[in-house]
This record gives sequence, C-alpha cells and structure tokens, in this order.
Amino acid sequence: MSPAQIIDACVLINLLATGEIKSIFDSIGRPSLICSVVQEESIYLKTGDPNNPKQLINLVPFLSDGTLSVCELQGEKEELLYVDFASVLDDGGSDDLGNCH
Amino acid sequence: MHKHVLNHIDPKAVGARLQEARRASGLTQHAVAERMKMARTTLVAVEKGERRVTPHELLTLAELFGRPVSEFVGRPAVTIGFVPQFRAAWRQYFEKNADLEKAASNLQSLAEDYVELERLCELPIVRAYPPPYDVSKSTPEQAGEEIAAAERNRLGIGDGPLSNLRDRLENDVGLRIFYFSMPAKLSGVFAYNDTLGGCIGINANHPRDRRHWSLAHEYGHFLTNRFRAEITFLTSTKRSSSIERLADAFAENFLMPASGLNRRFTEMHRASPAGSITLAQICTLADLYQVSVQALIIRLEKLKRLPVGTWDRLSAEEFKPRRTQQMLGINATVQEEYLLPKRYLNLAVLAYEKGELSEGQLSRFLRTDRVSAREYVEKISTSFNSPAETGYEPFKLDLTQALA
Repeated sequence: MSPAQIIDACVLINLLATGEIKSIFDSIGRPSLICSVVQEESIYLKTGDPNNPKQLINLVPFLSDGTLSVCELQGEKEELLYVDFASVLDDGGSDDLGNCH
Repeated sequence: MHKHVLNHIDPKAVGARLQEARRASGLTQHAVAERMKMARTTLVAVEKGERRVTPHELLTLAELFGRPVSEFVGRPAVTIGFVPQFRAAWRQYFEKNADLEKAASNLQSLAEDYVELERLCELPIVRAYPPPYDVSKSTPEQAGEEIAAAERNRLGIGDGPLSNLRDRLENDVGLRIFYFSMPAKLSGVFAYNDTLGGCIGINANHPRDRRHWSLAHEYGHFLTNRFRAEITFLTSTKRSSSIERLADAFAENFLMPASGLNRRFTEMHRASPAGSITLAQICTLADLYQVSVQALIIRLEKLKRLPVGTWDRLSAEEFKPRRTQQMLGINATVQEEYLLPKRYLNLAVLAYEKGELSEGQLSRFLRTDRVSAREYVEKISTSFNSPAETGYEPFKLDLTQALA
C-alpha cells in the first residue's frame, strides 16, 4: 500500500474549492489523512455569491466514502512534537507535523 | 528542534496562562482536576509554575479550555498580565462573574498579539502619552472638564465634534483599542502596563453612540488613573465612585466641549424660522457629535441652553430617541467597521507577507477563519495589480521603506 499523505488546512480548502477533491485524490492513489485540528479549522469556502458569500464546509461525505480519514496523535513522542511545533507554528500545522512523524 | 519547548519555557508563564484560560472558561480547579484525572494539588502546582506541565496534559487542558496550544507556548511571556491587575482591583466582582474574567483575558490576549505583530514587523507603536493628570485638587466634575480642555488643546483638535475619536487615540496617542463582544451590562475595559501600554476594550454589541461615549470614558481613566485596571458597567446601582464620575465628566466635556456646542446651538437657534429649537434638530445635533440624544440634552441643560428637567419630561412622555432618529434617517445602530485596530490588521498582513506568519497563525491573529483571512490579505495586500496601457502590471509597495 502507498504511504499516506497528510493534507493541511490550506491545501484542503483549496482542493475543496475545486469541487474535484475526490477525483484528485483517486488519481493520486494514496490514503489521504487530515488531523483533527485541521478538521475543525476548515470552516468555510468562498461562494462568489454576494448574498451568501460563505459556504460551510461539510467534510462528512468525504470521510464517509473514505476520500479522507481523520488521524489523531499517537503516543508521547507525537504529542511532544505537536507542542514543540506549536511554539513556532499554528495548531493545525503543529498537529500535521506531529502526525507526520 | 533540539530543545523541547516545555523544558525551557518559564513554567510560571505557562502556569499563569493556564490559570487565566481556566478562569475565563468558568471552570474550577476541582472540576478541571477531575476531568484530567489528576489531584487538585497537582493542578495548583502547574498553575503556580511549581511543576512543569507535560505535553499530554497541555494538549488536554487546551482542548478543555477551547484554546489553541500555541497560545500557551507560542507567545513571548509578558511578565505582568492585565488579568491579575483586574482581579486585584475588582476581586469581589470577579469571584461572582466569569464574564469579567473573559473580558479581561480578551483584552490581554489582543494586546499581547498586537505587541507580537509589532515585534515580527519591527515596527513598535509610537506612544505619545501625556503624564497622568493630577486630579487631587479639584472635584471630579471640575477635573473632568479641565482635563478635557487640556487634552483637546494638546491634541490640537479644536472644539468641534469628534467623529474620528478612535483614529485619533490610536494614531496620535498610541493607545491600543479593540472592539469585542461583552455581556450587555459591560461598556468597556481599560488596563495599562509598561510592556503592553494603554489598552481599551469596548463592547462591540453596544450602539454607536454608547461605544463613542465608552471610548472617551475609558480614555479619561487612562489620563488620570492609568495604573488601575478599570471595568465600566452600563449602569451602576450604587452611587458612582469619584473615579467614575471623573471619567464621565471627562467624556461629556471631551465629546461635547462647551464652546463649540454653545456656538452650534446658537447658530441653530438663529437659523430656525420659528426661533425655537425642535427635537428633530436636537436628534441631528446628537448624531453630529455621535452621542446619545439623552447625553446631549443633559449637557445642554447643564449649559443652560435647555430648561432643567427637559430630559425627564421627554422620558415621562415616552419619547423614543432611536425611533425618532430612524424617522430622520439617522442610523445610530451602525456596527464598528473594524473590530481590531487598522494598524494591527495591516501589521498582521505584513507579517504574513514577510513569511513570519503561517496562514493558520494569520487567521488566529485576525480572529477569523482561513478563507476570511485570505480575503483580508487580498483586500489590503501590499502587492497588487495596477492598470497600465497594455493590461496589468504587478505593483509592489514596501510599507517599511525609509522615506527620510
């Protein structure tokens, strides 16, 4: 099985905005993971509609069909890395890097 | 990353932040210790900085308090925060009301972020603070009037209406002014220390005229008693303290100076065909000064331009200022356009463009989601396209360049 890829919030928002996230991930052929902090951070997409400028992101369909999976920190070493990175980065990035380890 | 942050960061600073976050979330030490499955004495030791928090504990506590981990380990430590100042001055109120802790904590966190942005951009705020005014030899009302006149003179703003008070205080004095949501009963908060400077928080949910008054009122605190953290309640059931009376007298005289208001009133009177002043004119004048109709009428009563008791009579007749203003096309309920200072927002974008902040950090500094943060960067980016003869050319503006 191909190694998994961790998707950060910035990339996730961009890919969701294409409307083609499923086909993009299918073509890459690797399991795609998001961290729990990123899941909480990816809140809105821009719609371009002045009357309704923001659309709430709903990740449930992508989590249900396996396009994305949520990963949690496992063990002291990953938690230590998260905290270390949080001294210089935001929580989403720190969670990503902790999980990458 | 060779050194683990929790091994070298000051445990007292982390402990103090954890304690503030716990109190702002309204949780007791007992409740948190139970959720953490740790002894209360262990939590006490962590909050006091006598025991270092472990990574697992920090992650769990941050989640419990609804705060990012970076807030506890990612900011330079401020030796003395605002929250202890507020607690010292308002102990009885704090013990009964978690909302006050939240307001104090919000002010501190915004002020610390502002200082951090200045550090990242190497652009410290310019402070033009006057020395605290001596108020010992006058009544609060006299002192408020005298200081208002002196400040208008110092700032060179004449005796007209102050529609841009916030800009004045931010740019000409160097105060940090934030608008954020507070419980309806709170009008504003003020605190000062040498690291963070003079900081004011105004209740963003209040109408425009109330916010304007609150800002002038808190500025009065800064000018006279800056080392005491202040919380201003919308109405007080008890007789106001001399500190509050002074701040109110300052706000009244600063926003509606006698000379300018008298002149305008006389002009209005002269121009009135019937030779009398109407309620519609008073409502329009209040809008010009951005004060409530009640505040203006009471001021005009004190200046003997309206009969004493005018406001009481109108109240008894169930006069509704807001409805009258709406009929006149005056919108006094308009929201504050910028909750954070414009300079703060510009510094955040500058730091992001310099690569000092990640997108996630930018959205945290802007107190918004990532897409809104991106929109803000687009809006005030220092790099944008300008039309040229043959289409568009990129134009880069370096805001930090030296011009002299």
